[in-house]
Amino acid sequence: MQSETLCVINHIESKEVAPGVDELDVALRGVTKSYGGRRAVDDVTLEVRRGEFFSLLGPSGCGKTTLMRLVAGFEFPDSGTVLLGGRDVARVPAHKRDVNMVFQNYALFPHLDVEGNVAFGLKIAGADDVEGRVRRALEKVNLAGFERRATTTLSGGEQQRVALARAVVTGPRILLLDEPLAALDLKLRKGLQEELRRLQRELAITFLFVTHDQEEALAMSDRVAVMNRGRVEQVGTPEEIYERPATRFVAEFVGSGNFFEGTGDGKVVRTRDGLAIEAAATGEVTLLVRPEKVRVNGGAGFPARVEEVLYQGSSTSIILRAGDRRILVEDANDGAIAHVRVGETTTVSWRPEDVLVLPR
Amino acid sequence: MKARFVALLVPPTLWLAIFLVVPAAIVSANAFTAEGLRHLASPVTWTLFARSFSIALVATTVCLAASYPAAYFIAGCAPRWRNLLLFLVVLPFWTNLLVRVYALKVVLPEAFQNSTGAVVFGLVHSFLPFMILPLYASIEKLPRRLLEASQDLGASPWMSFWKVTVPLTAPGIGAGCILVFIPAFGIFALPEFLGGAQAWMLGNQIELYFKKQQGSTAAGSALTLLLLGCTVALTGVYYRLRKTEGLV
Amino acid sequence: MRKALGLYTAVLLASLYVPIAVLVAFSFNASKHGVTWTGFTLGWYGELARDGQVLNELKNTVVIAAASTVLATVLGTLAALAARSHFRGKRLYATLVSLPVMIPDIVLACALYAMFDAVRMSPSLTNAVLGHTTFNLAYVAVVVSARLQGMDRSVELAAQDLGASPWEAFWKVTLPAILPGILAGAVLAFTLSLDDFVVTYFTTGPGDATLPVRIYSMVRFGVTPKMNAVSTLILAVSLALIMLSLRISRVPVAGGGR
Repeated sequence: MQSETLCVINHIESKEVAPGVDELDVALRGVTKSYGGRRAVDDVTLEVRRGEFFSLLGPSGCGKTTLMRLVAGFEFPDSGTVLLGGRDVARVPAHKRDVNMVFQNYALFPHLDVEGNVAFGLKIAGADDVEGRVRRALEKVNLAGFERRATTTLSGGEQQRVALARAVVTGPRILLLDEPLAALDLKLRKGLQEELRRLQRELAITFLFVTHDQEEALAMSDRVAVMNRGRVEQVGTPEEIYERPATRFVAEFVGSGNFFEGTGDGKVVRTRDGLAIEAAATGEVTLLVRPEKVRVNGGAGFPARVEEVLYQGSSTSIILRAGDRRILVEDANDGAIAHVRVGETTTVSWRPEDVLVLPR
Repeated sequence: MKARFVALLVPPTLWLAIFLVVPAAIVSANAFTAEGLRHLASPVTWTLFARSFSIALVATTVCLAASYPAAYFIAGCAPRWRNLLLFLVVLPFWTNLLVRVYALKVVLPEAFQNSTGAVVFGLVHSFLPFMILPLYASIEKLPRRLLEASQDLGASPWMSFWKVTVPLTAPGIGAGCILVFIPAFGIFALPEFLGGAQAWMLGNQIELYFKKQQGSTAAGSALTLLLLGCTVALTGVYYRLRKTEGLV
Repeated sequence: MRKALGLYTAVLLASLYVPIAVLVAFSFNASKHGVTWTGFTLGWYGELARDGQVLNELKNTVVIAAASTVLATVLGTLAALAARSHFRGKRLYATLVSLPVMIPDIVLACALYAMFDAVRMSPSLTNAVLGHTTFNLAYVAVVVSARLQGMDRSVELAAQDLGASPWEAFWKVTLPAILPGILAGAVLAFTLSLDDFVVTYFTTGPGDATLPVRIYSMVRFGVTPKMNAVSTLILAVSLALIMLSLRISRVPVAGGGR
């Protein structure tokens, strides 16, 4: 009887919304946040599962950073609920939340060395074996032996890893990463992307990753939420987002595409400039055909004139013109290259099943 | 080119040599006579020294505590307000110190006057601008992100203040303390107005020796040298400490 | 939390001004013993205007301030210009120039007293001018230095490139650019001189007292309501000068055409 009472009290105290809901490390329900009349986050509902690598993807100003700051506790929502591990944290300040953040320009403490920085959270919490834990954290991010270094003597990549070590050493439930790779050059970025992914799996922490780089989001995430103007346009796996975009914005933001606006009668969609495309759509729609799905010189299609051929090593981009339209084709250089020359007129075609129908 | 540079350099250097270095040498010469050394070693001198030092120290500490919250507040204001507030803070500094001290004498209750407390109060009141400005400069440079990072890692706002803000504004604190301590240490009109016989400081004694023909030039020089030596030492320590990393 | 800090700051600022405000108010108070307000009067100012000694002191104050300002402005500007180059012993030089500002004024005052005494120069206005120049020099140097740092040196080179000799370049380009700084420094020096008490006290004798010295002796020997008037006057002049100084320093550094 006693233990059951304790159990109930525990439940009440942690304000669990529903059993099993602490499978969700982060749950946002109808969250809105405005600044001076403008809605930075507009009625957002989102769930991040335990152990996920979840990305918030969108252009600058879409609200992803605000959303992250709401989760971190640096801002409080105007309306809606924020749940961390099932617990309502709407008014809980940042230093009491089990969430740690890797800041965009690292925010390392200049008056402390690397060890001082990494140990900061541990010392606040009064943890034991601080030295050992710091050492292991630094090893994990490939900075073994860096304890005594001054933060100002580190390169961008090294600083970023210190920021990472500092954030994970206390073993938080959730890690927030605010465009951590934005300030690094391409090669470094690619390397760190792999490292982050590996780290996340090793530590089994839930990562909430904010970025405007869609390639990055697709490469690293288990699931992605695409945001625009404070709203979530689509949530899904990278494949879902790319292959089956829910809105035109998602289709345009993630990857490139050829868009055709027209009216469909159920079998064929006709565009204003006279193209007839096979698609099972009715009414006013936008059709999307991804560049890698377009075949050049392959067979029946419609005519287009080659404007540019851009050899890019592993693939070739071909830009064609059909009337007023630009058609973009991505051709993998895997042996079966479409040999076309600038100025040539050829045909472009695709399989009907590669046509995506989007709402207008 | 060289000639032009020399033309620039010589006049001010010459002036300072005559009116700064030579007087200092003369004071030293006066101080290192038999009489001067006698005064330097006398317990009266060292009592005065200790009293002046402690009054200046207390005043500096109180000034720091009183100024920090104000400097912190101003640093967090919008630029328009910041400039106005800083202007209001600095304005009294440009007015006559004697007048301000006299004004305090008018306003402070009789019972409080003629005490060490009144002197400390007067010092704090007079030197607030000297403390607020460098504090403000240092606090203003502190990136807010660091405080967010600190709280993110679990430190409460109060803890973040002590673990991040204070260490990083240490240069400003140091500068402010030096700017207040040194003049406070050598002040003499203020303790005379507000402290009377209770708070007789080094400056008062020096004045007595020089102006009142009671005592001697040698004695006055000795004390002046002591004051000068102390000031130079403190300034040196301060500049040495400034080598460390931080803001300002 | 910010509200509390804001309130505190407001109270602190108020406390800085309350004593002065009270002083100014009392200078118009008809009552002899300024505790209660008995009526508005300009009487004390009137007395002041008739007081020959005070007028003399006013003259002294202005003479010392003006003379030392002129000297200090020239010397301070030269010092700042010299400090632009790198030379051996620059660190020492910089310390020397900033020394008058760092040490307590009583040290400077007494050292000067000792020297004048040693060379048998009795206390006089001249001594005061020499003393004032010494500390004013340092302040002007600091102000002009700051101005110089904000200036783009390549304009001087451009002038020379276009045919001006270094001397001409200085007169036609550098000097106009730093003129606001020089003026600001001059006003600062004048203000500091007006307000100075310690250095004046140790370098002048009974006949050449200045207004601050007068205040000092008045407080020592007994307060009269006339004091409030004198103080208010000094305050007003200082304020006016600060405003002037600020107005001057608003002018932009490099010519961009107005």
